This record gives sequence, C-alpha cells and structure tokens, in this order.
Amino acid sequence: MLGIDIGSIDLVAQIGSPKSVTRAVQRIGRSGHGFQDVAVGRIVVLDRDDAVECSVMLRCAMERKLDEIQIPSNCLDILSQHLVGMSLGSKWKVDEALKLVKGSYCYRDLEKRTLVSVLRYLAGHYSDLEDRKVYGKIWFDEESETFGRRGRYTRVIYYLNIGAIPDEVKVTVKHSGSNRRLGNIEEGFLERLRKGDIFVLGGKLYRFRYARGMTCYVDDAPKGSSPTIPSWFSELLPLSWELASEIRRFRSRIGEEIGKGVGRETLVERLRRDLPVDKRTARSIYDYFKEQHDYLSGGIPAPDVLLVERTRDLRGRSFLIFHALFGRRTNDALSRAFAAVLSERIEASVGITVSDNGFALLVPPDARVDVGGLALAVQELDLERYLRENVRRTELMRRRFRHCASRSFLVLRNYKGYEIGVGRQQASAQALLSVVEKIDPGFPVLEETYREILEDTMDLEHAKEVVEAMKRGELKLRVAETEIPSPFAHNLIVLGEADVILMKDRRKRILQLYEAVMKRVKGGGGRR
Amino acid sequence: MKLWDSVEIVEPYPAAYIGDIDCLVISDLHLGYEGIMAEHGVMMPKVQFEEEVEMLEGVLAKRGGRRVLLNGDIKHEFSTTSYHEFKEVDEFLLRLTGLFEEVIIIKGNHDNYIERVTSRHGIGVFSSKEIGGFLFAHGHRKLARARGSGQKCLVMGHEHPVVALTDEVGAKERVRCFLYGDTASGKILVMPAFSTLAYGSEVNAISQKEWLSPVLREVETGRLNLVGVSREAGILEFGKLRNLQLVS
Repeated sequence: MLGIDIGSIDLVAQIGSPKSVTRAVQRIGRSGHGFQDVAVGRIVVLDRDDAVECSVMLRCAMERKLDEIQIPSNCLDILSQHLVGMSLGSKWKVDEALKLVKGSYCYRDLEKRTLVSVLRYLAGHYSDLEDRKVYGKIWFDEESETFGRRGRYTRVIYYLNIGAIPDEVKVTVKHSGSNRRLGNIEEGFLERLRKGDIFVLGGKLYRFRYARGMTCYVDDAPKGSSPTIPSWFSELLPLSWELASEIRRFRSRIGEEIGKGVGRETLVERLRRDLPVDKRTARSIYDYFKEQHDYLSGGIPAPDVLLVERTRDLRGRSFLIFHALFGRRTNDALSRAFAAVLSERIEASVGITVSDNGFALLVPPDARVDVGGLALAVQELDLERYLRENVRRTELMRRRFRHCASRSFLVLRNYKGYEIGVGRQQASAQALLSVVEKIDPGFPVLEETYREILEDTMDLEHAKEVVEAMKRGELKLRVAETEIPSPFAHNLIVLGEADVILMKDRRKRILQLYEAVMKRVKGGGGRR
Repeated sequence: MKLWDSVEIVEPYPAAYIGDIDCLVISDLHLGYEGIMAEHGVMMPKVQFEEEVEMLEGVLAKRGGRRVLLNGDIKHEFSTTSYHEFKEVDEFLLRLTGLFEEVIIIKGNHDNYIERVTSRHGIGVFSSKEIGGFLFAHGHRKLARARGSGQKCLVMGHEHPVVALTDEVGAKERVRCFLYGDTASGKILVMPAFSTLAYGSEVNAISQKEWLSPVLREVETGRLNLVGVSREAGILEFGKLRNLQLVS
C-alpha cells in the first residue's frame, strides 16, 4: 500500500513475488528509515516460477532497472465523480469545466463531446423526464451548456459514494445441512465451481453443492479427498512487461547452456554469481529448467520462438499451452484474441487461463485445432477493434462493469439509508449491463469498462508488438505435442486467472450445451 | 408444444395456453422492477415493461384467447405500491383489458395493495381460483385445502424455474423452463417467469428442500418433466428433472 508510513521497521519479509522491480524496491524500502540505516528485505518464494521471477527481479533492482510508469487517461468513472463534486459548489459552463478538467495530465486530451456524454449520463438523460429526479445526480441544460447539482441529496450521495477502490464481492459459504455460515469466497471463484468440486476454505475441505444468489452451499468433503480446484485470487498483481522480458531472456540463456550440456554444479555456480540467490534457490532453478529440457526437447524456448504445447491434463481435458512469458497484462490481450478466433473457427466456447508466464486455451475434447492457421488468423486482426468486439462475451467484462458502475454512481453503495451489499450490486450488475447496452452502446459507463479492460487490465500495445513480431518472422511459432503438460505448464494449468470466450451465436451456444447435457443424460452418469 | 391434451406452450415464450378453458396463462411479471432497484441505489434504466409488452404481442400473434390469467407477482415491491409500479401495472392491465374479454389475477407474494390498480379496471383478484378443473395459485403458500379429485391440474408460478447448462470449458447459460408432470396429488404445471429481469431458481442444481415454493418441497419433483424455452433456441426438451440432476 502506498501513501502510508508504517514506521520503524528493521526487515521486510515479502511473501511471493511483488511482480515488479519498482514495487520490490518500494516495499523493501519500508525498512531502515533511520539515519544511515540500510533497507533490508527477504523474499520468500512460493514455487519455482516465483523463484526464477524474484531472482531476476532482484538482479534488476541492483542494476537499477525500474519499470515504466503508466498513467491511465480519460477515465470516465473518476470524471463522473469529479463532475458531481464540482456541481456541488456552483453552476458551471461546459467550456469552463472542460478547461479545468483538461488541466489535469490524466485528462489532457479529453474531448468536449466525451465530457458532454458524461454530463448527459449524470443528468439521467437516459431516463424519462419524470424519472430524472431519481436517476439524475446533476441537472444539465444542453442548450445553454450549463450544469449544476440537482437537489440537496446530491451532496449526500457524493460524500457517501466517492472513492476508486471497488468493493469485492464476498459470496457467503454455508453448510447445506445446518445452514451454518462457514466463511466467504470471491464471486469469480464461485463462477468456476461445478457441482461436486472440492475446495479449501479456512483450512478445511468442502464440497460445492449449489449456489443461490450470493450464497454458496457446501457439504463436508468426503474423508481422504483432495481439492479439485485450487484457491484462486482474481486480483493478483500482473508481472510488468520489462521484468517479463528480462526473465524471458534469462530463461533462454540458461536453456541454451543446458542444451550445450553444461553440468549442474557449473551452472549452479554461474547462477549464484549472476543472481543474488542462495545455493538452494540456484539448484531449484537449475533443476526446474533441466526437467523442462529433459521432458520436452526445446521446451525452454529461444527468445525468437513462441512455443505452443498441445496437451491434455490428468482429467483428459485438451489444452493449447502458449509458453508466452510476456506478463499477464499482455497475455490477457493475446489469450482472448487467440481464444476468440479459435472459438469462431471451431464453433465452440473456449476456456482461458492466463498467467504471467503464458496462457492456456481449454478446448472441447474433439475439436481439431490448426495452431499455425490460428496464429496466421490472429496476425490478420485489427487487434484493438477485435478485442473490443469480443471482450463482451467474457466474464472479465461483467466483473469490470460492476466496478465502473459503482465508481460512476450508476450503482450507489450507500443511498437514502440503504447500504447495498456487493452481492446485490453484482446481482444487479449483470442485468444492468445488458439493459444499458440495449439503451445505448456508447453509454459512458460502458465506454469506461472497455477502456479499463483494453488499457488497464490488458496491455494492448505490447500485445500488438508480439503479433507484429510474429508477422515479421522475428517470433517463430513452434508447436509441440506432449502427453501430459510439461513442467513449465504446471502452474499455468492449476493457477492463473480463468475466463471463457463464449461462442458468438447464442442460439448455437444454447443448442450445443443442450446437446452436451442430453448426451450426459443418455450416458447416464456423472461428469466427473 | 403440447404438454397435455389441452395445455400447450406458446413457443418460444414463457406462456401457456389452455384450450379447455380458452385461457392464456403468464406468471411472475415483476413490473416496476427497475424503479424499485433505482430506489435502492441501482440506477437501472427502464426496459422491462417494453420487453414484456413486446413478448405479449409475440404470444398473441401465435395464440389468442378469450381470457388471460396472470398467475401472481404482477408487480415487484412487497410492502407497498410505488409510483413506478403503479404506472407500469396500470398500463399493462389497460392493454390486457383491451385484448381479452376477461382478465384474472391471482395474487402473489409481491402483490400487496395491487387492488389499488386493479379496481380501476374492474379486474378480479383471487388468492387462488379453479376454472374448469384447473386450479391456479401462485405457489408461495401451501394450498389451503386438499385438492379435489375433480381437479385436472395445479398451475403455479413463484419459482422462476431456469435450467443451468454448463460445459467443460466453463461456458454457462441459463434458460427459462416449464416443469410439468404427474404427482401423488395430481397433475402440476410450474410456469417460468415472464419477467426479463428477475432472478430464478436453477432447478437442476438445487435439492428437494431448497425449492422456493413450499408446494414444490412436498412434491416428488424429480419425476417432473422439464422443457426449456428460449427466444434464440426455441423449445428444448430435457425429459425428467431427476436425470438432469444426476449429470449437472
């Protein structure tokens, strides 16, 4: 967390990767604040990918290679808050307001028509005239181009609802027998649960039965069972592009050495010279890379190779694993582009898992996938436009929309004595999303959602760079087949953020799901 | 699609037509939903009224009738009748009285004070009603009296049944559905919601004691047949609910 001084600290223990060099320096820099003190930190890594990442990160920190800073611009949700705030003090002319707002670096290119669309939204012009006293936060006279606050209650709404950090949805977990409350899980996690899935909550194992609204009902898991679905956090920080690039180069270099047959002790020594790590960590890194190399020849891709592994997991599900060490934001964009194109080509929905080290596409068992053709098709895309069109069919869109709706005062967390729980916000957000789309595809809250996904969640620029490199032949596609996933793919398959690109045609989608369900009914057994 | 000799689904809508008594049945309209949401701070633009009217027109294009029966939860707010609701229910009923000779309203758990609107149109409001052997009740309470042997069928709403379809890659779709079949106490038909916004019970995921409706908790629901209705995909026959529960 920024903006607070924690005080006198001797040593910072960082559990897991902080995901960027700058953040590592900032966090460790919390220690040793006294005169002539030195900041001291220890990083505890959680798995072998983490070990590689943190080791390279520390070397970069010592070489003073920091990440680039990105400042989001033209955020319409925050603009909405400011406009309501401005209206509290006095009446405004649109041009005056525009001049003031453009004074901020974050809104330096804001166009007048965008500002006007936000004002229209805030004034509730999307509702009937008689409903505007409920829907409008401000009044806006388009003819005289003036706006101001609407009624006294606006001030209360403003102070009770401003802020940029969205509430996270907590789904209540209850025991289905006793109705006892067991704890909470994230809403995104609930979406992934299927009947019979076993997961860990508060150190105990439970079996998922069903959900109603924002309550999830579970049983005790049978004795001796193990989790079928890993703990998962929707908002892990993404690895920066710069650091990802360093790790990619590092990985290739070690891969090359192993390929040449350089022995364990020699390489471990070299790792210890190059990186600020102890002997055990160096050995773990070497062993990890060696396993990958031995399992899959060429499994540690050279810098100019994009390795795609076609494989199945232990449950027999078909995966395409892209060993794309570009950082999650770039992979967020690439994975959805590949998944959407693939979904169109095979006429089926495609599951996605994304991590910093790559992404995986989960495809139906009988789908025939031509990876080369797929890659060529992706190279032909106008990536930005294509992602914008296709992101609508993802869960990401729904989650982000709720955040934007709340920040833009479309969903008020606190209103006339009602405190709206996030559960209710979420339940409303899905209906709200489809309703808002129907009335106006250019609705400012919707625009902001697309902006956040394309610019904040995804790293469109670097994704374009990757695709361009493929086009120019500087990044070559290599497809490998494995029976079970190679070591580098393990974390990706069990962890990572999950999403799904739904098939475009809702009719076909329903019919396909229907057929799949009926096949299971006739087969007469469970799915797992 | 015919469910029984005289009962059919008006495809692909969440509406049923009963030939014997020349009656169109719809249930759970939840008019005024967005207005109530807005009062609670969710500034949802109003679209449901138009959508339901459009659906009604679609239904009528396929199947007219002498009378229409609204099987409960015509409006959304429990405690009172708000201005938004009043307006939407009023307009909807005005249309219905113009289109049908007789409009019958069964009172649901959301329909308190609905008489304020219905009295303007001279429409009868009942807690349950028997017409030609069909017993109509919303289904939020157990039936007051045992069902007579002369009754062909209980028609109810309240549950908003939907079927949840999922696949291996994580895609999920919810489709509104009818439930119908024979039970120990006679035939039963559970209507899907006509509302385009209100949330529903995923009937293939819940267990017997988790039905919203106390009527259904006492019925052997696994034996009921399930038919999905979707504007995009039309009619989807799933067979017995029990078989579906085993695989989802």
